[in-house]
Amino acid sequence: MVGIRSYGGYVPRYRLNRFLVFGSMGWINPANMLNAQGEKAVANFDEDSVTMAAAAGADCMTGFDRSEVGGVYFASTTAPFKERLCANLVAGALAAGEDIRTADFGNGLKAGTSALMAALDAAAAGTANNVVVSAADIRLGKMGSVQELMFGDGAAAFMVGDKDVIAEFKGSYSTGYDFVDHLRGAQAKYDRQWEERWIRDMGFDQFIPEVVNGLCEKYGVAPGDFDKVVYPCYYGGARKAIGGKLGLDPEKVEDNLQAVIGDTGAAQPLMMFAKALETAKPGDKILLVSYGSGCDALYFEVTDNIKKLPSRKGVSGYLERRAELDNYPKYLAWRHMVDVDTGLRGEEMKWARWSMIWRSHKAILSLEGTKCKACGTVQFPPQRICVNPKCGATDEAEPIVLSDKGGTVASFTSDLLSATINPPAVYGSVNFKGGGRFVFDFTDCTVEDLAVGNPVDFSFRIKHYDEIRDITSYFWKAIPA
Amino acid sequence: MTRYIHFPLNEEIRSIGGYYKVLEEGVLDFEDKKVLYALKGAHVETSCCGSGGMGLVSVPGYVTSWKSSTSDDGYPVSEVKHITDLEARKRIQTQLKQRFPYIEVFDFD
Repeated sequence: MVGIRSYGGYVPRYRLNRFLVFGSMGWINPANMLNAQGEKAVANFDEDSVTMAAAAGADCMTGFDRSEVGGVYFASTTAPFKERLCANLVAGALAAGEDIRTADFGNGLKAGTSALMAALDAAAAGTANNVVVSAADIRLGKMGSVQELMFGDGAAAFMVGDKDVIAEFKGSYSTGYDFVDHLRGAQAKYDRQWEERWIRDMGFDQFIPEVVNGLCEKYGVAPGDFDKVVYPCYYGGARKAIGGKLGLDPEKVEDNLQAVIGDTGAAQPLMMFAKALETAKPGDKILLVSYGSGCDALYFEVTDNIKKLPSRKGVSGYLERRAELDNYPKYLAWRHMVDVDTGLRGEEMKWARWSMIWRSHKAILSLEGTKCKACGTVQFPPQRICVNPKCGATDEAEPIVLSDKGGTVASFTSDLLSATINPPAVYGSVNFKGGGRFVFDFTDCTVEDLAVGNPVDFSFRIKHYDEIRDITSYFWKAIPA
Repeated sequence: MTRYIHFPLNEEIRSIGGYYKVLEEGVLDFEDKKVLYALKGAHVETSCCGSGGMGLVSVPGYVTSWKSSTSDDGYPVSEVKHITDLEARKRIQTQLKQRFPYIEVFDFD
């Protein structure tokens, strides 16, 4: 039986009240008042689609052994690289090993479901098992645009396999059309959309019923047979109309999370699906539909195994972890939408030294240190010689992944002299649980949130962004647990 | 007296060329009277000549009775007295502008 073995979600901590944006930009587009309801989730200054996909993947892996992973697929329309496989970065952050399948899916909003179907097909064919599919997006709309209010940031991940599945995959139906409603050219930073009525009446209203009816005909079911129905559609009225056209009970249609997160692009249907699984019961039939350049419809049935799945944060857990971003210009700076002066220190050249990065790639991506086989001492960065003065064994160390160990704050400081787009820089020493100590940046917090001895988790984040060469460098940071 | 129907907030009220939503309703204390106002967003998106929209504050009038009856559709209905005094309109608009600084259109008619 092929299907979903596990799921995870991720919503960044910061929320931007849409009316705050409208208050600054409503003058250019007064009709945007209609879109200025609720709040949107926004990635921190050190997050992008790769880091969010890694966080959702880690949530998905809760209770699973990383050695089981047979592949990592990354789906996004906002990958930070055009040539550098982001799935390898996510796989590295999950410490999933390197003898696995990795692939990136992109260029359309149904990339998330395309990746999921590819993993399901591989599991069914026996060519790859326990593939982690992680979708994330961080799309940008121009200042004052509808999209600026509409879009939110987030991620969802699923492990796909052929045993102990929590949701059996029953089948799919897809359509592909060169129907352009939203688009970004290869060099474009911002989304451009065609008229709303086009997107709503010719897009959502036609294609979603078409793919749902196609799937139902193929598998001999009716739309009303599903206990949970997931389909994205930003427009409230059109969303209700689609449900009406399909004869769906509104209670069975999953919330699109627009009021609390926003449209998360390729991740949107998968985040809704992950949230649906949080409350799913054995026997529930779930219909997952994506939209964008056509549609994918996937049919799942929940199994008894869902009762055994270890608890995780999920989309709901991350929604509860929130802080207001009460400063719209800060959002613009974080997303590099405006030029800001970070002082002379900010002009320092920080090269990405690829040979050094390759030499240390397991330490950088997986937070992999060493554990002395002779005395058990843990050390980060990895060392050939045991740091324990009573031991000193040479080449007796085995690798140990520290990213999921957590730790405690040993010291911390707040630095207004360091060049950062999010001053003050907060950093300090962290003791790993089980031994070892290293200096980390603290993120998703202020200095007031820290105290010596407080527990922290580790989060894969952007360490540095080289604006001149458009290179993002990653490392782990500590966040209050 | 003019009847004012309190439609549900944030629901699309559609017409042939587009729709509007009532986003907020409130009563403003103005001198010795109560002024009913409604913050609305309007969007023209099914017109042949393009799309666009605006935010506006509609001021139906002084409240003379509050949700004292219901419409045929079951929505609450208040009664208001139209504000015709142009100087009073200016003073009301000044107060409302402080509350809604991003609004350029105040509709008293």
